Amino acid sequence: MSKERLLPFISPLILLAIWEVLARIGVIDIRFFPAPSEIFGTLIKITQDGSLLEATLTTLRRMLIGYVLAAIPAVLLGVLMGVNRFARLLFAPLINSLYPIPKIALVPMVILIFGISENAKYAVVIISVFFLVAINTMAGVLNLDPKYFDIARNNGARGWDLLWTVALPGSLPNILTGLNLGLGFALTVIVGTELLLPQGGLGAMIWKSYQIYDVPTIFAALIVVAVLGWGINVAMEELERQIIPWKALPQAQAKNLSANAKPVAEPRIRRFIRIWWMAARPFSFTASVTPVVLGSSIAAYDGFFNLGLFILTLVGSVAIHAGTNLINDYYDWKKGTDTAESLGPNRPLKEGLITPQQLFVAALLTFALGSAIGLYLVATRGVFILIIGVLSVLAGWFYTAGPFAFAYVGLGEVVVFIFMGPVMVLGSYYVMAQQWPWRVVWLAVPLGLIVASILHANNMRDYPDDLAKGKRTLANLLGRRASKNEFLLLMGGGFVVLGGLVLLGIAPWLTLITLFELPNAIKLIRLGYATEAPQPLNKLVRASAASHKRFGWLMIAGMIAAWVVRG
Amino acid sequence: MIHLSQLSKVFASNNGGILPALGPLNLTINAGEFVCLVGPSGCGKSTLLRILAGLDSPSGGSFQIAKNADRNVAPTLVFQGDSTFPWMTVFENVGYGLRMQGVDSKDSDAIVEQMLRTVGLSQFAESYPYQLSGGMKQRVALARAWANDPAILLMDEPFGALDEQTRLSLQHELLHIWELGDTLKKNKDQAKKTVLFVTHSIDEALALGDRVLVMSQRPGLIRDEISVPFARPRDPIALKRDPLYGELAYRLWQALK
Repeated sequence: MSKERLLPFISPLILLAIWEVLARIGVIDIRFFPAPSEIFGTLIKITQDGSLLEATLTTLRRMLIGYVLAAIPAVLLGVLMGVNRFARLLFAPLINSLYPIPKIALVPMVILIFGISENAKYAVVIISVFFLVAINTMAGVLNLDPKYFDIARNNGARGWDLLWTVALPGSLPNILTGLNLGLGFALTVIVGTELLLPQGGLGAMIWKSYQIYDVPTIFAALIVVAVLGWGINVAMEELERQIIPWKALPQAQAKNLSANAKPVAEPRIRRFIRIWWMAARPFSFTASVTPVVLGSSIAAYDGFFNLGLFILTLVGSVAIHAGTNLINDYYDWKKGTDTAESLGPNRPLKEGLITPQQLFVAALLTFALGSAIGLYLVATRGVFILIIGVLSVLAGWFYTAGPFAFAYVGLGEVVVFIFMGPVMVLGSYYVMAQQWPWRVVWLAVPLGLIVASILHANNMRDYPDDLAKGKRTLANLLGRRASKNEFLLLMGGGFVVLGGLVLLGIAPWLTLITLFELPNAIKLIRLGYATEAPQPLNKLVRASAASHKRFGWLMIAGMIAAWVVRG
Repeated sequence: MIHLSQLSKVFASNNGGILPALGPLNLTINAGEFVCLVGPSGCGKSTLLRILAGLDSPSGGSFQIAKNADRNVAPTLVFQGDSTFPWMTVFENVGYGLRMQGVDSKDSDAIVEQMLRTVGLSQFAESYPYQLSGGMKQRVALARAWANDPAILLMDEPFGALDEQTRLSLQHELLHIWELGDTLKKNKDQAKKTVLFVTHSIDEALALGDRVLVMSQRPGLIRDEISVPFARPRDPIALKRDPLYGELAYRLWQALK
């Protein structure tokens, strides 16, 4: 470590040393300022007896749940207010007038409404974070140079394209600043609330220690709060660096002002993440992430949510999906070299950023991770997971391989519907709930129908090619006309089935939030009827995939909202 | 081909009246022509380009403009100053129009790679704009416009903010790409693109254009028109020792007075 990096540690250490000496020789009153060595001893003691960890986890849990529940709608509302003048005029006065209220002053009102409960604590955090994040997000979108929207429009971007390719990425730096501030504020507010409502958590620890004049414990808890605040800041800044790679580092910008600039070396970790992120083709992950999150949110709604199991299931299924992508690219590459044809779709491989061997090893590692998680889930959550896993692997294998390859005999849509819909949703539901009610299968049907519509759009596009190659898909078995009806059936069916489920009381009414996607779906169905040319049909494939993504997340948002509302 | 008839634009002024900004203009630009438009600032040059690019609508009159038949792309506008998206890599920036128009990613990747080679930015494909110099960013904007393969290119002082040397080398490059014609696609023999290039530099107009149009103060009207007979391919620097160059420059200055 260089001298300069040591410097920031020196002044606190000197201060601590002076404090220690003054406390020992009795110059300062150790009833109020116990010696650092004593505070450290207390810190060790309450760490060992588990009380500190429990208090910290309680505080963190309250902070994070409240934060997530506030931040997601706040970002959505902020973006909406940024892009839509009507929404801005409607909501901005409300938010601007509520924002300046010191949130801790609302605690008495919150107690009156929610009683002395966990919900009261979430509510205070939610109120505190929501306005801060919403205002920053709106400002971020508004500050975006309108020129970028003109450029996008002139290049053919319309509607949602403008949101996804300009408004969101362009305002992301400001959104993240707001999210960072919000998280810091959430910590401040939850500790404050715990002082007023001392039932567990670091704030309660401080308050209760004060009541029995246990000053060293007060200091120990304050240290933990400080470290948490510092850690949050560091983590958020690192997150920002990783997900906003286009943000100029000041020194990099200065270096590149000369005309004959060379690319600057990016940080190694970021480079590593970026290359492998690209190699794993994360845009395809939606197909596996959405059903897992949907299954988990239904389980949460039914009162079975478990964060650990959720993370395991999610990481496991993404790992399997990433492994599949990597291994496919590896074999594409092998075939490509055999026939001396062009390389596969894997950009990092094509550009020589990674070697085929590295790709192969990475595929094995991700598979290993996925399998390890899978086996753990089988061992702890039952053999039903194994059955689902084996069936999925078989379906994946026989999808394009073997004499009866589903994709070649017109069963592609059926298989994709079953596995990317009910099977995955039910599987992730089962991991938490340990049961498989038919209700969950029904709830997965809309998502399955829409995911099948992506494949069907793909087959509509490849209609002449597949016909020539003798690949029988549902599209060319049915003929052009009927295949258009099928697209209507799949895409529109998703909405109709969901509507039916709400009417029957199977789906919570909040899932009707998916109706936001309906106009877009209608546009796609119209496009499907209007054209047979490959170019617009290619757009249909992309747009159906985007539509599936939005439908999935809206449905999940609806389930989560229903869960939260139910409490 | 671009054809304007009685095209005009008015804006609402602060005191509730109307402020004529442009025209009425009558003008025809033939397919494959490189036309430069010079005029004092505020004469409505940019407004005209925005109308032609479909970002604004005229207040009166009408216009016809050729489009790329395959994709129904509006004429691509290269904007003043830096017009790269900071959040996209060079590769994504150049491929943006193709992506938005639903071009298959395999085809679009090939086009983008070819364009990056043409403008000499292949090794910067994965760089972000903040890592590039001003001239390089302008090359990215050019490559993106060309990748769209529009029938008409509209350029709004694209090199205005660059230093003289970079500006000369980019003029050179622009002429080079333009003279290549449509080498990206199947129609090897397709004619050059039609370009309407707005500039405030008389040197630039003479170096690039087949024809230079001079616009008046607001509301912009076409006051004069000079054809530039220099042979192509042109060298923007060698031109300057041609006696005719001085003569044309003098005439343009007179027209602008």
